[in-house]
Amino acid sequence: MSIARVWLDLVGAIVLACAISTTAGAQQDFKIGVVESLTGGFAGPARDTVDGLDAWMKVRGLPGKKFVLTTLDDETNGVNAANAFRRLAGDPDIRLIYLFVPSSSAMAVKTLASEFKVPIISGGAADALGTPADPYLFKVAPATRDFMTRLAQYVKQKGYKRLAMLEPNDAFGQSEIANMKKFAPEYGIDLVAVETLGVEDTNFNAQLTRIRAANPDVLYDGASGRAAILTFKQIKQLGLNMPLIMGQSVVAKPFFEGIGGAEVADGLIVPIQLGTFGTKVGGDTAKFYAELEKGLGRNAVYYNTFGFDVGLITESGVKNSDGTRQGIRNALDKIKGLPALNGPVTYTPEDHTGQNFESIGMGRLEKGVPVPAQ
Amino acid sequence: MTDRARLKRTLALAAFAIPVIVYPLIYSGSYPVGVGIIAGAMAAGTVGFVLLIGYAHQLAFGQAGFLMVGGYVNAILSTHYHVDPFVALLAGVVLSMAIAWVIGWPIMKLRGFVLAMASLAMQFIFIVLAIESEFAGGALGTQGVPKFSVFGISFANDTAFYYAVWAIAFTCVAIGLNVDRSRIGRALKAIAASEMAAGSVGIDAIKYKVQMFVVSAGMASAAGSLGAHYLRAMDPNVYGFAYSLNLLTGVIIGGLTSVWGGALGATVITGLRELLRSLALPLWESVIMGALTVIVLIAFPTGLAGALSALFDRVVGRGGRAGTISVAPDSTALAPVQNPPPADGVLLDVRGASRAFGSLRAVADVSFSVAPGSITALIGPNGAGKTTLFNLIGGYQPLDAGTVRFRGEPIETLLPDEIALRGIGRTFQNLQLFDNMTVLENVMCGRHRRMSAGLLDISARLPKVPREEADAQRAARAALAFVGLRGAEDVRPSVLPFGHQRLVEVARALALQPTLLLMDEPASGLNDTETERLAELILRICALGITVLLVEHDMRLVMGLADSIVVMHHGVKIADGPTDRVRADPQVIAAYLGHDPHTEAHERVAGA
Amino acid sequence: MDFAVFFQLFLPGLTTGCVYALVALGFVLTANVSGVVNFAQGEFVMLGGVVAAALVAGGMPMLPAIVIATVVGAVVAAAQERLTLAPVRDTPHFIRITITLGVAVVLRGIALILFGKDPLFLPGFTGEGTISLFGAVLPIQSLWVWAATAALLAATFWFLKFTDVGRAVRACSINLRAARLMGIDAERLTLLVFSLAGAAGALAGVVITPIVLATWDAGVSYGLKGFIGAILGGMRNPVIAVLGGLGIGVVESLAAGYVSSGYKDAIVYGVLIAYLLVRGGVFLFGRAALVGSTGE
Repeated sequence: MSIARVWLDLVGAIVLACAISTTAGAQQDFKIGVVESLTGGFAGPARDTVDGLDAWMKVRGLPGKKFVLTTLDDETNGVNAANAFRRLAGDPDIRLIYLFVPSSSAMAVKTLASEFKVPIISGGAADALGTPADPYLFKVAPATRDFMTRLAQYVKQKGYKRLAMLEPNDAFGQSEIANMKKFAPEYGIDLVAVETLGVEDTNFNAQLTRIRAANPDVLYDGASGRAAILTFKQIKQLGLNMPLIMGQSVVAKPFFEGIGGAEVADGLIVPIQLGTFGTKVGGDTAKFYAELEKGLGRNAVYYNTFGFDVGLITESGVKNSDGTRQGIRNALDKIKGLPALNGPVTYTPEDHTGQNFESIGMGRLEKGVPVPAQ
Repeated sequence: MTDRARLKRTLALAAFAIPVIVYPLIYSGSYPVGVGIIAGAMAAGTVGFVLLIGYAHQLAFGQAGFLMVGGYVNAILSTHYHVDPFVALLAGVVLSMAIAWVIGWPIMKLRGFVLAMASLAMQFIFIVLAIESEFAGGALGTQGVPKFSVFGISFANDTAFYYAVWAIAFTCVAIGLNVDRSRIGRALKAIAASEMAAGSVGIDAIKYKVQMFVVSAGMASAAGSLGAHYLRAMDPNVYGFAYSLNLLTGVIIGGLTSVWGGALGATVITGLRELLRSLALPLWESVIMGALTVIVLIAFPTGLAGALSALFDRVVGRGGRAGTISVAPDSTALAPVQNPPPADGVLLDVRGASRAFGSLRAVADVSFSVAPGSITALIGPNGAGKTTLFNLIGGYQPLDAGTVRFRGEPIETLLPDEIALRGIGRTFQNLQLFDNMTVLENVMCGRHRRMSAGLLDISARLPKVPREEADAQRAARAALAFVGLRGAEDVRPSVLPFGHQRLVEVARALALQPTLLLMDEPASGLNDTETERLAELILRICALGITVLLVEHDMRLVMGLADSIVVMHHGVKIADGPTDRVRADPQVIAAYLGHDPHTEAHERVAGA
Repeated sequence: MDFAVFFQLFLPGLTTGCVYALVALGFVLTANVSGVVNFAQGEFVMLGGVVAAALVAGGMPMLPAIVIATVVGAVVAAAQERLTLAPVRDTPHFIRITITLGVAVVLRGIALILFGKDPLFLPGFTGEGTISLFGAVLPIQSLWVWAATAALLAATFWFLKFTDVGRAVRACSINLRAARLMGIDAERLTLLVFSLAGAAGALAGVVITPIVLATWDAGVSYGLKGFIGAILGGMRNPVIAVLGGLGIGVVESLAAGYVSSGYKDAIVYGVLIAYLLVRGGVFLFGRAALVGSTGE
């Protein structure tokens, strides 16, 4: 049991050391805590988001302030996200916390947000993150309901009647299904098949056979990661030739490599944030996109644009406040129509979603690059 | 309990409790206290797990399934129905225990890794149900779980909650320690050492395995509830398969030989993970964690608790060396049989007993009876089927055909422990002692069925429990005195000479207060002096009113002792009756004895 | 019943089942000679997949990549046995099992560091095309999976039945202690069987990768399903273990197709518990119940 004592001391010593090293430079630095999925399924998107944020810091940043990021891993897991958040929020010098974690992890933090009274800017598409609004948690990017709204509009516009959905059995997929079930009648869409899959599964013949039997006009496949690659391949193998729409997370190198090349996906439709179209849409988006690419030094992908928007929101919140936790929160709560890469950001005390369906467009893939489909 | 054992317990408690109490006073930040809460909740969950794996020897891979039950019951009841969190915790515990009981009874009848797999399957089913259930919040789970409170008294800050969690963890440890030193703890150790011998003293192995499964489920559920109130949310991934493996690794690193091992392992593993997180090497974290697991287990197979216990033994001394053993038996130590069978009846009646192994007919249509108060010997050459017949009577193997009646009731469909409960004790040809306990505890196992404290009494250590323990100790000491082993109480049986180990078995069977004692070749491996002492002991046992049925090779012993003899040859009975008549039976002489044992036997009895 | 639909579910299920079957076989054979259930068994499948895919992506021709991946599986398994199991031969079984769990974690972690988190792609041995069989459409690679599995199974059973070493392995499965007393060199036998199980797992990983891709964390799921197959065979009977593995793949796919893709896992595991209980004779009472007990 003396061993227990030893590690207690070790943990304590490290916590102490962190505290001392951070208080030393607190005067000139602006400290931000980051809970990020460094490992696990969300690690790739999280990395891209941070790259986008870095690009914002490089080309814009805040004059006279030096940003110091303290990053903790959540391992793509809610328990660790909550722990990491407690640890960051417990440091009084940290004024703002970013969550670059999947929705379920972000939801675990939302419960604690008001308790620690530190403003949070969070990623994640779950509707529940933005509404009902937690006074301290501000979401970036449109919610699932916005993506499904855009999808329903597109399906109606194209004159499709029968829609089939293939969704992962995680929070994201369940939320897409629930939203589409709500919207389908409004847009005159017949939801003829809803199939779910485990993100670890490799064999989707059962789901696809049932979808084929339902004879849809169009198929929406919400899978991501390996499941996105495998469902795409198996859809082609089974000869399901109806138009295929997939989630925006597929617009990434691993997907194109996994299916055997970007050109294999030519013609695939994706609902995607406007920022990804970059200069093609003009206006603020084009301006910010150019800045992003300058900061990155390469072509931007979807999650980069999202990280850049986190930076723009931070910029507004810090500039219009005294820089305290409460001050930043109050400033963020008042943001209305803030120009951002993916479309204007608006927060109201009731809704902290940030952007809405107007910041989403439908893209058609051409050699791995989305171009506006309409 | 010896002074040494008491010192060890006190030290263990102090070494664990003091750091736990002091820790939040030194590290009072939200984060270190949070880590302490997580470790405490996990510690509560591991205590039952140690009882299940270390004591009942049942590996379960899906233990986190019960944390999930606790977590979800709490999340749903306290969030949606505003039930007091502590009441919700108890509700989760009850539900988990009920599930474990329902699954446990059928599963524990199977052997091998079946529980490991069944519990895993159970956890995966829970996960699917949680994901598919809209009521539980689907894959996103339930958020907004209130802070923990007990009957409305809420734990406003994390430090208060920390102490509440550890109070629950220590309650679990206390329950574990109470089980460890009770009749159930001894029963579990007996089952682990020799399930056959455990059955011979009336211990129902399945019952106690199921009980430990149920206890472990309850404690795991409590841990899950505490976790949900700390996280303030519950989703299907919180207690997934990875957490099950974490629990398993925790208890095994901590050490399975002591209930402290679980709590120790939970603390170490939680602390280590957070420590590694501070190193900010996310990719290397799991590699280091896995490698440490492997290294610790290779270096200390008994875990950290085992290593510390060994350290204690080095410093304080091993203790428990055999004192001077008083070999003078004390015939007055045991009282005669109460409720003796009527002297004119038949105590044991075997009719047409048959048992075949493949084409080999080990026992074929054997019938005989044993009169109350007699000494009956079952003899025959090697391979005659004597031990098989014993196993049939004792319920260790099923009969293909035939009946066995004891005191007029059929017992041929009963299991060994049920037969033992009816008053049939036995000793084994190959010693089946419980070497994971002291001699005294071995004999106390014989008292198992005379004790009535159940799991609830024992968990709370109600006054009845120590009283019964004291009675059992007294009875066990008396049985040891009766066989002539006074002074050997506190050693492991294996340090005793072989002859004395046989006597321990006899004492254990006598502690059962049997009406009929089956002895399987009690004299094998004994020297002449020891055999003489054994003959004398059997006569003294008979004098208590206990009927003795023995299988024996030593003809001098048999002829000198037995009132009647049953002779078997190639699985069939070739003769039975009073010793004098059987001895004169020409068929017996021809088939088995081959010579007249008359003279020798008389000489021996005269000499005894 | 639509037979085309049935085969569209059955045949891909069988393909996945082939991997489960080879893992289950590895579980049973290593358990028989060493007395330990090796939970790193699924990781050899992962290793075979990621090593072959990385080599081919790096420009190596297919055949040498397959050979190297298989050898890596054998070497890693042999190293596992020598370094982590041989030194603790006499400790209780659940401690050695936990050691294998630790080894599995280490192997996964190293694979993540070396090969990254993204799924790795390996082209089909004979292209990416499809074939039609009984009305079902399958990737051509399925034929390679079936052929490799059949060949490995045939070789294993020939080895067990007709070679002295194989007979020694079977002797161990009947009674490990007696076999050791009879002078069977369990040390060398254990090393050999671990290497073979590692190689078989890795080869299974290579042939399935063109269909399912290779990821660093795929071993968990293969290990679990293979373990279940092995349990069905009482951790002792290689034939039932193989059939169990194949059966799990098929039942999984059929359950998802005919009942519900969401409840697929619940159905597979529910059926499994029910099967064990029935086969174990749990619904009999008293003495009869104990006679039919499975496993050790």
